[in-house]
Amino acid sequence: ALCAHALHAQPGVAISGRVLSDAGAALPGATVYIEGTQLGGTSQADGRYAFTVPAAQATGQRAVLAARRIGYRATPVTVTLTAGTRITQDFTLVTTPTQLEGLVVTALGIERDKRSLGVAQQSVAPEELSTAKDPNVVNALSGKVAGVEVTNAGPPGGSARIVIRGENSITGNNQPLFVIDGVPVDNSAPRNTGFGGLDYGNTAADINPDDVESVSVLKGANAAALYGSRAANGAIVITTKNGRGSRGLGVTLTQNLTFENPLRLPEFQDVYGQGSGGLFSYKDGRGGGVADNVNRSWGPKMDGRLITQWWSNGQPAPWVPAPNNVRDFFQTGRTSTTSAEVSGASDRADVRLAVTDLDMKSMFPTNTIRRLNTSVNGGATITPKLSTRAMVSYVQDRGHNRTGTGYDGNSAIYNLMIWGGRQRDLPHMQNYMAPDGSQIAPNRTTTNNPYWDIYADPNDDTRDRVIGSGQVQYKFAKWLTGLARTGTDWYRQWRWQQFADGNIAVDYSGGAFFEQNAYLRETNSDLLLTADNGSKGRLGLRASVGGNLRSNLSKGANIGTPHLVVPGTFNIANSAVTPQVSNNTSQRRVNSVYGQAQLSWNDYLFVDVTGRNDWSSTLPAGTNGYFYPSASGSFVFTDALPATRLGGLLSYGKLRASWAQVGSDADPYQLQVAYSAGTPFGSVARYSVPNNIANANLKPEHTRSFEGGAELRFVDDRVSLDATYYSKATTDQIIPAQISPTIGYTSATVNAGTITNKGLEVQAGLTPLRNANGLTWDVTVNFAANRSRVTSLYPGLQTVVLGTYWGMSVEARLGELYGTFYGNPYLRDTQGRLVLANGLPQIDQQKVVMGHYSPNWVGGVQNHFRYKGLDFSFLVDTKQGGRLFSTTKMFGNMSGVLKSSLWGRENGETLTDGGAILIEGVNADGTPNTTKTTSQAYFNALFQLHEPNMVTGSFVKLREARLGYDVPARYTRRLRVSALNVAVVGRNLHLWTNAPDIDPETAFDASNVQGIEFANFPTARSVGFAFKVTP
Amino acid sequence: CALAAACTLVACDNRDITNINDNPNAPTKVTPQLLFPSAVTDVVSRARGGSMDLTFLELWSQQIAMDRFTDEDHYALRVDNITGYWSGFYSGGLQDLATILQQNTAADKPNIVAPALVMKSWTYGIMTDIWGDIPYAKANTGDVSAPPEYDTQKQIYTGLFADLKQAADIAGTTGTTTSATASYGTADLIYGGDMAKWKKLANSLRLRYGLRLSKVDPSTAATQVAAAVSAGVMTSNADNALLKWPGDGTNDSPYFTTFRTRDDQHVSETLINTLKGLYISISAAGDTTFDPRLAIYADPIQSSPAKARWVGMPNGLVEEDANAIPLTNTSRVGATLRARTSPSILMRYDEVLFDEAEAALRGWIPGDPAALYRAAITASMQYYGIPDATIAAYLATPRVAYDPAKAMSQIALQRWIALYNEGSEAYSEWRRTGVPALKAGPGAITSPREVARRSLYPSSEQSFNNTNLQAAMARQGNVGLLGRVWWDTP
Repeated sequence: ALCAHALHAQPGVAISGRVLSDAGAALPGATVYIEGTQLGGTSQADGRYAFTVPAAQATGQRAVLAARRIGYRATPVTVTLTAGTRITQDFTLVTTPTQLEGLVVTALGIERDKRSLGVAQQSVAPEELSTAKDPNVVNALSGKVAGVEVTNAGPPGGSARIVIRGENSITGNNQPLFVIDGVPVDNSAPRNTGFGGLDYGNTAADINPDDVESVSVLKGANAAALYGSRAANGAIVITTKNGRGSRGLGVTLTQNLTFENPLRLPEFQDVYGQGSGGLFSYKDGRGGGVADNVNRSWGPKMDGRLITQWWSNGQPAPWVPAPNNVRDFFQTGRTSTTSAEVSGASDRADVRLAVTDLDMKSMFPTNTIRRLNTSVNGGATITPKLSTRAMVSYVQDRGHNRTGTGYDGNSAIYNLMIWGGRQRDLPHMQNYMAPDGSQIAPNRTTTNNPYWDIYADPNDDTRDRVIGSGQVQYKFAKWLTGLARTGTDWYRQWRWQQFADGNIAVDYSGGAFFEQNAYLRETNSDLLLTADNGSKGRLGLRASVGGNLRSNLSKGANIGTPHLVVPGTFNIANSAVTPQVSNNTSQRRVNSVYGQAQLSWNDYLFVDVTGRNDWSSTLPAGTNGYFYPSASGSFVFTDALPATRLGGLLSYGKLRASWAQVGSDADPYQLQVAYSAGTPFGSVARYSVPNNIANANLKPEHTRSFEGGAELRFVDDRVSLDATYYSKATTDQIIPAQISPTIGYTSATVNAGTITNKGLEVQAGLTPLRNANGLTWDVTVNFAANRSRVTSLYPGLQTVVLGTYWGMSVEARLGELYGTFYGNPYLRDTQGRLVLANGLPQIDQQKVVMGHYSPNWVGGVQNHFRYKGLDFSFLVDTKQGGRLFSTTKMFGNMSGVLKSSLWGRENGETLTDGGAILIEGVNADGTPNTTKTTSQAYFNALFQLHEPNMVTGSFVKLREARLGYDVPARYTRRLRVSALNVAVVGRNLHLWTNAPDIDPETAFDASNVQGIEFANFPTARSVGFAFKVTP
Repeated sequence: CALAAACTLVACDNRDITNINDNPNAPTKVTPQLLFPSAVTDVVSRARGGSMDLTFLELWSQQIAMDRFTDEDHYALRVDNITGYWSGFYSGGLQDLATILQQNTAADKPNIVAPALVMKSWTYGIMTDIWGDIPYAKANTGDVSAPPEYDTQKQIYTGLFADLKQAADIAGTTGTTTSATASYGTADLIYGGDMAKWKKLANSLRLRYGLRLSKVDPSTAATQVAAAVSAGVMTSNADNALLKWPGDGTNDSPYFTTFRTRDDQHVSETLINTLKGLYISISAAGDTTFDPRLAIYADPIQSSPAKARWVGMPNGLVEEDANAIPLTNTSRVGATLRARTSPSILMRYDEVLFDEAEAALRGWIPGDPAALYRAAITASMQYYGIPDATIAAYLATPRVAYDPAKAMSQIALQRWIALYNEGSEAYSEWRRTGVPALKAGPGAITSPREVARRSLYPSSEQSFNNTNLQAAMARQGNVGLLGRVWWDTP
């Protein structure tokens, strides 16, 4: 941090000028200073900067004046400092999409020159986050950083999962730590029941992209060891904007308006309507007619024949398809993001205030998401030695009628996509409630009318969140600085679901409601003392020591009832049965001391060492402390040995290596068995033995990680390559290992298991065009391949099951990749022939490995064209390899709604006919099968089989595209604004995949159980406009 | 100085911070009075109703048939459901019982231990009857180091007899210390703390399991049956072991819970035709008197409300053939049995009488088989509130009246009828006696197409206890659907 000095005892050198981006736009926030001194200034909103070199320090010497900004290449020029003169120097900074050089934010928020780092580091410029703004900042990182894998769960406002360099933990959190202005913030997904419930999203989504100054991605233990236990998975370090560099008043307004529609929906068949065995006749929807509560489309051909239908009052009506009865359920979504920011600064103080209103009307009818962000960031230099800064941000996040996901009878998507007759048309369905308040639905026994789900059974939620921090910095001496900082992340979340009397899927007679209140608080306090010799001479030395106190508290309180006395009064006092009530508290404290030392030689050789000791409340008393060190080195060989430049072919070359260890504690309350309360049986209280055995002797788990890499730039930096190989292992994992339930418990908390991750990351940059006329074309390529393998488990244990859906387990299986599918294949004989019974495929009860969810590699290619004020960019990203268990396929074929279920239907619709399909295979005795079957029976038999329902997880997506225009100054002056940018933006514009019917980039939630798909909410394709105005 | 300050701040309580790690949400010690009701409701709701009975045991005994989602009805078992049943028993109620038995001794707290032994035996009886060899003696130890070996069914039965004998011996006695009179009191959801009734239940279960060995080991069967009866079995319907659900919305009858939003199970054609007197192997020609339990067991079909008509659903159809039958054309389970408070049956007096009738007929105990047979039918009907005159008329019908020439199959058939809603027992008794002569449905995937004779092992044991599982499977021979458990000899 540099402060403008304002001491004008006598005229010195007045230096001023303007900093512009290579696109010609004013660039605020760049620091311009004399290298080797602390003299400098910061560019303001219009790009202008100014500072004065005191006469005493202007002796006519030559000096290097450099402009630097995160996300841009540093640009030095040489000037002569003569007292009493003025220097006007403009800078045009070139963006570095791959952040080749310059300042980067590292652990603890320390800004360092990238060349000094012994670890791979990638930053994301704020422009890249807002290229085609996604409401969830996590999604906006997709494809932009090598080694980062993002999976979006789909529903509007739903959660996104981010994993850096693969999964380290068998059952624990595998997502990185989020740090805002030095303060760790929560990114949990509380009660994220993405399967069969509502997905309330991951809480990092509260971060407002418009407030972000820079994002540094610390890829794992090597870069993040100083952040402690939680940084074993890496850290996303976010610095927010402040008012430094503003002069007078800086105001910026931005408006984004995008429209959304489904990127992909399943292909449905429009030949056969509801029913079974080719038969259907409606009577009461309860099975009174012929198959009239069978929610499948195995009925008669929709050829216009007359059949009594659910809406036709007992009269025959034409039996015709309703081909758009899923697509038309969705509406055009609209997302509006409006931001205003005001910033100002004097030479001693600065402040920035920003408000953002995100207003989303999603594709899902009645669903809205509203997010209001207000943030203030201000700093003051009280004396030359004492400076302070504080930040506070308030977020209100409101959801209304979030869509249910997964297998949930109350989810409209489920009721619409998986079940039902292809003849059901939406206009009839829209009449969902009778005058007496009862439900009108095609089926009266198991599923609701989807319009009932959204209109009669609404849900609401609100999260109020405050993130704040304050710090005081004191310069004890020129070489010694102290910093005290404290910060908190605090929120309350309220969630409400109500169900009207008349729900068909669940017996909520009288009506029902469920209310939850969650409270979370994390507080961190740090003291940090830093000594720095200012790199005087050839030897640079910088060392820090510090301490951290961390405290976490979360609480939850739930009330609800499945039955009300008086319908319509959603109050717990109106409960007709014993209400469901519960509460819980969880607390954790971690105390830490840490230190870091950095040595540099001649600015081309760097060595870092760090160490940290934590004491955690969650480990056994006396053995609750653990130490972990790291070391890294960096060598810029092209500076040390100029011959290696190969005559200018290599403009920059650096080698680096790092070894690090991070220790990690347990979750709270893992040391003692605690009995589970049951609901009282009448008046008799009940407790039961829990399913998990506690472990009083837990030790910390450890991640050890090595990485090495090279950064090379060629031909005047027009080609760059940054490659990293890493190898890491997390051992002694604290896991609830599943055990045979015959032991009396289903799991035991143990210290066991190792996951190793080995991988390669490459970032390449290419500038194919850099014309004098201003046309540039930059290409950035990110590539990463990771193998996350389970190399040891608890003795005797073959697997840890992460989750099971329809008999398909997602597992951490010994010797296999993390996230392996373990499911039932077809029953085959020794010659590999299908063994059939009754002419139908059979299940082999012995499960086998069926691939894994993690991709073989992920990558992204960003293209960026600039010409004067025009700016065009697009990002294509991909995941290749990995598989999914598609239950949309399994259910959709079983229920006969998918186009693929037409196979074999034409000739013979009932088994009594003998059927029309002859499956190739043998009987149990080895004789060839001669028993015919039907399409319906065949797909029903596949329903319990996992093998035929595995699909590829590979895809390519046109993730983002943006065409922007900086309106030239001659026009903006007439509009009385200083800058105006207009853009057309799009996200998720196209999908290429071989997976049938679905977008393979999908998940139930952000948990470790990935790769299972069930009628997930379609990915939103979004197209719209963005305006940015600086008055 | 910052370092010193940091250290002062940090080092102050690095040990003491672990004090906040005491779980504030749940207790670390509880009494047996809190565990026992949890254990009882857990094992009963798993064995009875929606969990196992309605998903396969009553289908395989052909008292219930699936009208939708017919997979299990044609023996296409979902192995993961089986995993759920298995895992639920061992880590649920059985572990609560094991904890009670580990923390309390028979000498000290006999009236805490005896009911726990009875419930453990009731549960293991059901489990071994469907799975054959299972972990028993070394199960529920909490020892993570090695999963337990499987015991043979013979060993398990030996254990059941010993535990039930011990339970009967100690029930109602006084222990050796100050806590000697400790009992469950109102936490005993079956008998409200009446130890005399627990004693009778222990002996009655010993009778049930003794008789089950009639084919494989008649001498043990005879010994256990005689010992059980002489030690005192149930003597009236007041002794019935029932779990009466409060029906408060959170503790509802499993039958109610299953049927409240679904209608996938209807009464089997086999049972309804039997109750109508149409069952071929027993009925006398022209006798069409309905069993008076028919109207309780099943509702009249809804498509003809004016006239009471009962029609059963055929077992073992494939999905599309089942779907072709309107639900209004076959009978639902009787409304009183589907009620919110409908009790779950652990064992009833009428079963005891049927068992005594058979034992008397075999000459294992004294007594008149004919009288016991009539008393058994009477007790079954009285349980359902059927008037004595109706019972008498029914007993007098030719196909019901005791016939020494067919007595064994008459007893077996009537017991099968009486065991409605106790799927595990009806299924076991059918396997032991072959009565009634069940035929597999047309969709059966068994080869040859016969009624399945055992459940499959859960897939989870392949993952977590495979060595012991493989040993148990190897020694039992055929563990497929048509394999037979030890006592089920041809």
